[in-house]
Amino acid sequence: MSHRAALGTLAIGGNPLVSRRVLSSVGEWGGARVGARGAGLSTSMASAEELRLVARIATGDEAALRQLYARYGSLVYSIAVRVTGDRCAAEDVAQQVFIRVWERPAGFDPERGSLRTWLATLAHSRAVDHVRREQACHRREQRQLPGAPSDVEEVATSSAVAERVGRAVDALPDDQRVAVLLAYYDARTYREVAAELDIPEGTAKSRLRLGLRRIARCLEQEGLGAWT
Amino acid sequence: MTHEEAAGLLGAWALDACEDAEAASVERHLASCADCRVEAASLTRAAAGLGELAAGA
Ligand SMILES: [Zn+2]
Repeated sequence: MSHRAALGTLAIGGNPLVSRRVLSSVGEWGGARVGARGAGLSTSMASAEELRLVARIATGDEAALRQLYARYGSLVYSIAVRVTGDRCAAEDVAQQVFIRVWERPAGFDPERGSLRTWLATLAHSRAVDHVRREQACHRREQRQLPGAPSDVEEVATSSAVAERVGRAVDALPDDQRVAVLLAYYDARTYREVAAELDIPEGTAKSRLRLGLRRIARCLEQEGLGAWT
Repeated sequence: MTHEEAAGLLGAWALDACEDAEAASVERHLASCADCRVEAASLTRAAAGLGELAAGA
C-alpha cells in the first residue's frame, strides 16, 4: 500500500480522520479551550499562526483539523510506521494522535515547543505504547522490525531539520548513537538498552541524555531549536 | 524523586524510554523544577528531530 493510500484510509465518510461518532462525542466531552491562554501569548517556541490553528480546532473547526492533518499527517505516520514496523498499526496510531488533538487541544503547551514538535512527540509516544502492548501480549522472543518502507521516501518532510538531525546523529560518539537510536526507533526502555548493550542502567541513562543534548545543541546552533 | 534522579532520567524520558511509573515521577518533578523543564523542552525537540529523520529517511 502506498503511503498516500495508507493515509487515505483515515478518511471516513469524506471527513478526514475522524468518524461521525467521534465528532459527535466531542460535544459531550465539552472540550478544553486553548484560546484564552494561547491568544496573544508571544513565544519563540510556537508561532502565532500555530496558536490560531489550535485555537480553531478547540472551537470544533473541522477545516482546521484537516489543515493540521494535511500539514503533519505524513510526519506522524512516518514516525509511527518506523517505530511499530507495521503500517496498519501506524494508521491506528496516526488516527489516535489526531483524534487526541481534536478532543484535547489544550494538551498543546506552546511554551514547550512548536506544534510540529508536539505532534511528533505524541506520535512517538503512541507508537511506543503500541509496541509495548504488543510485547506484553505476545512476549515474542524477537520482534520483526522491518526498516522504513521505501515508499516513505516520498513523504514531504522538514528536510532542513532532517538533514541537520542526520548530521548531528552521525557526529555522536558511537556509544551514544547506538543507545539513542535503540530507544527512539526500536521503542526500548533505558533498562532494555542497558541489558542489550550490557552496560549499567545508569550508563544507559546518561548516554541517552548526553546524546540527545548534543543533538539539541546542534539544532539550537543552527537556529532550528524551534522550527515550525 | 530528587532533582538529580529526575535530571538523570530526562534523556530516557524524552525518548519515551522510561517505565510508566518513572515517567510519571519525572513529570511530577518537572512541574516544580524550572531547570529540568528547560532541559526537558530542549531534549523533547531533539527527540522530535529524530522523528523528522524517520519521515525523511
Ligand atoms: Zn530538576
